Amino acid sequence: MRINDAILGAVLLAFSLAVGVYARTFPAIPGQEYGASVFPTWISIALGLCSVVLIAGGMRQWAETGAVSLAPWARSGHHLRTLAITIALVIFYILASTPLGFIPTAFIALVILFGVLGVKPLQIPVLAAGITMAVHYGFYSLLRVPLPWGVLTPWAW
Amino acid sequence: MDAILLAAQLVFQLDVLVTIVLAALFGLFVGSVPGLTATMATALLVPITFFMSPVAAIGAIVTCSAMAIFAGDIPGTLLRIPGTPASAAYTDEAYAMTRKGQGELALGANLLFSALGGLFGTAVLIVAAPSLAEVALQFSSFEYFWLACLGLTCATVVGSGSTIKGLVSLMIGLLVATIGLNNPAGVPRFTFGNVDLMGGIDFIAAMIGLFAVSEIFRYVLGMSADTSNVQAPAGNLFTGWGRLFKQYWRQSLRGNVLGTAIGALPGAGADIAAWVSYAVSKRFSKTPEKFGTGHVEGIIESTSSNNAALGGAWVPALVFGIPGDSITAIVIGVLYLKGMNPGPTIFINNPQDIYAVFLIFILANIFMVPAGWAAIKSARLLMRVPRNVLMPTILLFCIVGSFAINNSAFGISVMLAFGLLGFIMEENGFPIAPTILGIVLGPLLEENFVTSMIKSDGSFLGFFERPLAAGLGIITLAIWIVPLALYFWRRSRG
Amino acid sequence: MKRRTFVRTCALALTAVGGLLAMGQAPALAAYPERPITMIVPWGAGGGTDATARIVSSLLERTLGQPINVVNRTGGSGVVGHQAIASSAPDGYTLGLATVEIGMMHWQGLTQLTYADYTPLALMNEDPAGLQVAQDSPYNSAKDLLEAIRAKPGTMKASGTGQGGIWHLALAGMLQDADIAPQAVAWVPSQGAAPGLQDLVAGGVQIAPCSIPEARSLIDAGRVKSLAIMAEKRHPLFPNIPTLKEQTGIDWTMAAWRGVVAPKGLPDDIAQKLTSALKQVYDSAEFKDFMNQRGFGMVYASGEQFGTFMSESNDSLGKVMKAVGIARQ
Repeated sequence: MRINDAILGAVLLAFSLAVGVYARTFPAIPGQEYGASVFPTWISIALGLCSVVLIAGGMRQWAETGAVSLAPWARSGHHLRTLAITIALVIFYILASTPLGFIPTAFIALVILFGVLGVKPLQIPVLAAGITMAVHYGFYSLLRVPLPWGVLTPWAW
Repeated sequence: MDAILLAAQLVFQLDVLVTIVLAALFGLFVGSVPGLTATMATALLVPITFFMSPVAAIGAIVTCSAMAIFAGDIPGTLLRIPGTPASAAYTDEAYAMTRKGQGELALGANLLFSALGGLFGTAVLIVAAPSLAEVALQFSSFEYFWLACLGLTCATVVGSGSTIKGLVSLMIGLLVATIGLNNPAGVPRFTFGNVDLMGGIDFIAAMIGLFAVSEIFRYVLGMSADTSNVQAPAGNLFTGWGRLFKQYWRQSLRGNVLGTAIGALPGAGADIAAWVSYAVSKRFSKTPEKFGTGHVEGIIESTSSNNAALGGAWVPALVFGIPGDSITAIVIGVLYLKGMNPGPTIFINNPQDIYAVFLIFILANIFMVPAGWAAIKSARLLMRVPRNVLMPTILLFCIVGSFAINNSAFGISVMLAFGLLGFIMEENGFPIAPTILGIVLGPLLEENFVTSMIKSDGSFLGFFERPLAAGLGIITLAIWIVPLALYFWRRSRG
Repeated sequence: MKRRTFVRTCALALTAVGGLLAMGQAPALAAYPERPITMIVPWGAGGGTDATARIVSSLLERTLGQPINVVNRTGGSGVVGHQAIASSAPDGYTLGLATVEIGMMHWQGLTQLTYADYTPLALMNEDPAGLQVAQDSPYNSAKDLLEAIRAKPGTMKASGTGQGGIWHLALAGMLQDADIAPQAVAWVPSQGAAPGLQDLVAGGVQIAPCSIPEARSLIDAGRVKSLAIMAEKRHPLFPNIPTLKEQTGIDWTMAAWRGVVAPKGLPDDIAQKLTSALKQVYDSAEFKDFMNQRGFGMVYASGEQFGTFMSESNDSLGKVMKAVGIARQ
């Protein structure tokens, strides 16, 4: 999905203005002439200038490309749904991994994602369980990453 | 001479050799998993080294970090998911080779030139450590500021496509780097009272998001090229090496020299070395237009560079106990623990220990060839796994890797946000590599600017007062101004 | 068809999770500890705090008979990690290595956290600040240096940690006690002692008031000299370095400390078990060897005493920070 540079430029310009204004609120530090606000301000100015160039370029192309040119996936409900589910699963992991624990959360997420992507139904639970346990072994047992146990805490090893 | 014999006796012990082999396998694994870095691998080894002989302990760390830096190239090349930040500079290039069916060629080149780079760095360490450390120690914030500026220049060279979009991408990276408390003023910026944001945005989580997660998004939208069937037959990995070496020995040598030099500077390591070398390679190439389309030249130069940087980083660490990068920061602690206190006297008091370290460096880089070969061969199997099984698995690796950076779910949120950002950016022709460069260089630039201004009492002349700084400053400004001047000159004439 | 099987699989998975949740409700606490323990370190892998945490953990592991995982939670000048320790469950399965910064961050308005948010277990280490200058510096004693600063305020610069960090405070407090304005020496913020020391050798700054173990390799290399130690007594490992008081009569001391804590509200029996285990760790030969090898100072205080220590440290830090203008007004 290609958005016209003029629109992106306008969004970036607004963003850089917001950053520049917000950076004004950073406190000054005694003994530092160039304090906390200097760098964010400079970056916001540079970003603002770049966005102006983008807007100018985008306006020139507007006649040919229009505001937005849609990629094939953007018209395919199936693909958009898959994307939404993928993002939702990452959010689900972020929210659920601590209370639920790594093993159940990863298992559920993999089962759903495999299902959406069309892995053979019979293979799904086997693959999901195998991969979950392999990742858990590799990271938790070998690399000592403290993956959360959640509901499985009483059986933690 | 006696010292060298003694050193050989220290190294060629069964327990030392077994340790090295195990550490190599460990390094290969850690390096090839996105989110797990060579630094992390080293940190994980520390508690184990408590129970080892000094030589085995150092050997484990040297081998493990060298392997991890090489192994980061494997997922980068095959899946466009760099295993360590040091591979990010040329991930796109290597992946383009994979799409053309030349994945094995790319990996073979990575392996050969990584090992050569490592050997070169070692040679410099052996021959010139004390004098090189002397130079590195003279670098103060003024010089580092100019170096960071030079690094920024890489952004416009590295990214393919529109220059203005490359600059926007760089600015986004620089802005992301200002988030948090870790700035010279010690003031929270853009944290909105959130404790996790105070810690700042970790650039490894951002990198996983920009490269790997955005690639997964492209896959689920049916946009990703299926590379599983187009790979050229495996053949013999080593046959192309003679030709590659003959054709690209200059690039390899330049990468080695630059990598060792950058590695030896305290505060700049293998990541930055790879970026700079890639940009230099493109700048001086006879065929810069081929860069970005799957051309092995830039890969060779930067993969030489990041492994050479590892040896370089040991220079100030051994001579002055000042870390050359985050890995040697850990190494210094281990050296003290083992009674091998760093300092110029380490070369006089315990020469056999130092020679043993050198020997291990050489062994590790030689052993890299068979171990890396096996890793590349087994990575081929990975490419045969159906994509609809592989991609969710990679997503899980990314999630766990982002979690492991700071052991908190915040890293996963960062990963997801940058995955979306990277996807949108690439859809609209913004290169993502400059964003990473911005996040890496932002703190270096700001810190060294602010501290320089404090030291020079607010005078910009400070940046040209020291001879070293003045030289670097003039080079930087020339690189910036000359192309612009030429451009306007040509325009005014034609 | 495919779709239906998929939905069924999902339903099955959810039922299974529900069952697990129900089972999780029945905790039967046997003798503590019965599962692995996590030790949170607010600073990065490879630093002194990390090394201390790792040696304490590996020895504590032996005493308690359960694995202890060291977990680095870095960033935000220690705020992130200290917050993570305080907000975990006080069940004895999450411990942390608190550092001197816990008595500093809240004065700067960075967090609400104070020492009172933790159950103190054991103080393990204390490293006093030193007063380092480059080897070729014209000053050979703390007295000379102070007189030079007094004579020409504003000409010298110092570095060794971030703005408002512990060594910044050490220097500012020393100047204040010597009746010199704390701003007489400008502070150049750095990412820790190593870059600050490098700048000292490169000639960018004139003073690095970091701890002596941090400067040790450069002292041994003959690049840096330590003029004084800001402590009551000389350091047993560096007996040639005089105290600040010996040289100048200024009674100013400052030290960074590290101690094991748990979240607030840890049950007494668990706290006691941990304190006595930590005492064993502290007394072990391995711990002593390690600390001496690294040159880290050894100081011990357990439970209540450690709590009092943190409270005193907190008050004195607050006083200095307000006086030198680092605390948020």
